[in-house]
Amino acid sequence: MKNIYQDILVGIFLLALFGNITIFISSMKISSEIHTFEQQTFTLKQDNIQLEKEMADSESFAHTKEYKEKWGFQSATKPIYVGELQYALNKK
Amino acid sequence: MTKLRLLLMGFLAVFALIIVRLFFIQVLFPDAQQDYLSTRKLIPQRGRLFDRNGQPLVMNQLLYRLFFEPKLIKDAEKTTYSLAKLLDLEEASISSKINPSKNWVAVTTGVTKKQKDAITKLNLSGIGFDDMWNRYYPDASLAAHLSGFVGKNDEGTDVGRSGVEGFYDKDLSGLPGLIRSDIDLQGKPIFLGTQERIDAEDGRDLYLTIDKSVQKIVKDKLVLGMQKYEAKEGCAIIADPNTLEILALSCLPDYDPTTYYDFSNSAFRDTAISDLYEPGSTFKPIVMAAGIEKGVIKPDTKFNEDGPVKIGEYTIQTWNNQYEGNITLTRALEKSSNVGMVFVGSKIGNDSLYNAIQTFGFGSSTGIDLEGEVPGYLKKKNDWYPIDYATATFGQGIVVTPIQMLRAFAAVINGGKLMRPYVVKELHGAEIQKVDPQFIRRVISEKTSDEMKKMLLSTIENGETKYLKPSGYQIGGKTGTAQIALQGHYDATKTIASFIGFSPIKHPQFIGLVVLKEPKSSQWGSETAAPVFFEIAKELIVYYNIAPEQL
Repeated sequence: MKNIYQDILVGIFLLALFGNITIFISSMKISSEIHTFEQQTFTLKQDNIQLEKEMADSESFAHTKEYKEKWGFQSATKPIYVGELQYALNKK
Repeated sequence: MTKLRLLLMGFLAVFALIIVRLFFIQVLFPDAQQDYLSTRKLIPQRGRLFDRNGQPLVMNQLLYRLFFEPKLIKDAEKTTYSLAKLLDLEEASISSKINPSKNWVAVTTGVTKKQKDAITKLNLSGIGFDDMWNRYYPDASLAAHLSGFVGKNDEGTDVGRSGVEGFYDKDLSGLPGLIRSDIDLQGKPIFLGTQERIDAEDGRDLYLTIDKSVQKIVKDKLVLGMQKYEAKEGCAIIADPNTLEILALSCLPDYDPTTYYDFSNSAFRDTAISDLYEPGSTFKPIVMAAGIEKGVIKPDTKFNEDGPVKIGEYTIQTWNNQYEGNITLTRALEKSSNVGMVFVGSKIGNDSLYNAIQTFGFGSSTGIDLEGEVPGYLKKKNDWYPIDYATATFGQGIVVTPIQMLRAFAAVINGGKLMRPYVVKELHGAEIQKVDPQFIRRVISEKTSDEMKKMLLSTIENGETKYLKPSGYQIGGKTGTAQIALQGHYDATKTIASFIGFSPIKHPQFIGLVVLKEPKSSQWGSETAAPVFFEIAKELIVYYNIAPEQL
């Protein structure tokens, strides 16, 4: 009888030991994954902000001015009907 | 037994080693605990600013600070050469920072992600980067005084200064978060150890009432006007007269909010809300409206402009010392007659005039949501002499801020409603908070307002500025030229030239105020501030697609 109890105890001990090791390893894995995901999230956030900045740049007046000069837009392209009212009133 | 004893001894030795190590960690070098328990502050992203159409005005960007750990640098020559090339810095300035006696040296700030990635690829030893959140202004100083800037407080924390950044600092800052966790030797969190996390709450994004295109128009025209008329300072505000949403506000000289530290404090003063000036003749419509509202005068009331008026020992004359005899008050406003305004003042009465000035909001803050507004200054009633009442009718001897002037004038033309001017339309956080126009009080009736609009239209049609107006479009307004008081006297050569106007007449879509300080080419508002206003108005007529009201 004594031996049976001893075997059961050893079995429980081994099971607990195995469980402990498993939990420890998986916790390390999860920790590592959390760390990786946090880093990826941060990188994504950085990329997102960088893209936002590029979008803002492309919509800026500074950017428009650059293209205005590149394509040769001049004041002649402005609407003239404020000074020449007949155009606004379609009475050419 | 011997084996068992050996095993026991072995265990005891290991335990002893652990205890000794723990003694070192916990007693002799307690700081070492920090290696295992890491506490990190999570920095929230500061709220961004957008214009009324969702166009970005102020964004965030992540830049880096490059630092050296000189003791760990293996190849100083390669490090110096590579960094100088990538960062466009002098080699000498980099090499001087490789000082092996120091543990840490900051090399430069403002390193972009592209530069950082290029440097990281080089695998240089002894260098590192710190994250640095910065504000980014896609259009540089387009709306510097409006947006304000983000500086540092005594603890080195970001803090909004002036403008919207200052006024809405708490909304924009957000709430920092916190991470406390046990970490292993590689810096990775130990899942079974201490794990606490409070997420950061990003700042709220603000959608302004500003229209970026109108802001651009206003600033460009103001810059040109200041150059042309050689003015010392200039300020222009455009608003919706019905709601008093500010559509554009530009005061010059201004500053670049990115490099705010290169400018003196005076550059940060938003003269539109922080500076007082004598409004001169632009104040006349306010007094005229008060008189009509009281029922003591009408636009066609006649008076005899037969010469200068004596008030005690003082003589008040018209700006050109010319007098037209029996004229209506509409004509008096057209020719900006000081004598005519003294007549209006006498009809209103001193007490009522003082009360009217207060009712129109002078002497108290407008409550605009920009940091740095001053309430203006209105002398106590007991301190007013008869000459003060007389000069106040034509805007001298009284000081106002440009925003007060705009608010009062808007009430004259919007049906008589005194509104609170504002620049933030919506706050976007977890939920969207809308800011509604705020009605303060009625100052005149709609009937008086309609009569005033006709008088102000007539002022432009028949006044000195009639040649500036685009034909076919109806614009109402008033010029102003106030001499600057210096040591108790007015200096005739130094003036503040201003113009306040609106369009269209029936249902005004915009109101604008232009103030030029000490223009040199001409001292008159009609020859300096008015042309700037009309240049802006012409662009706004196109932008808002305003139809001509008559031919």
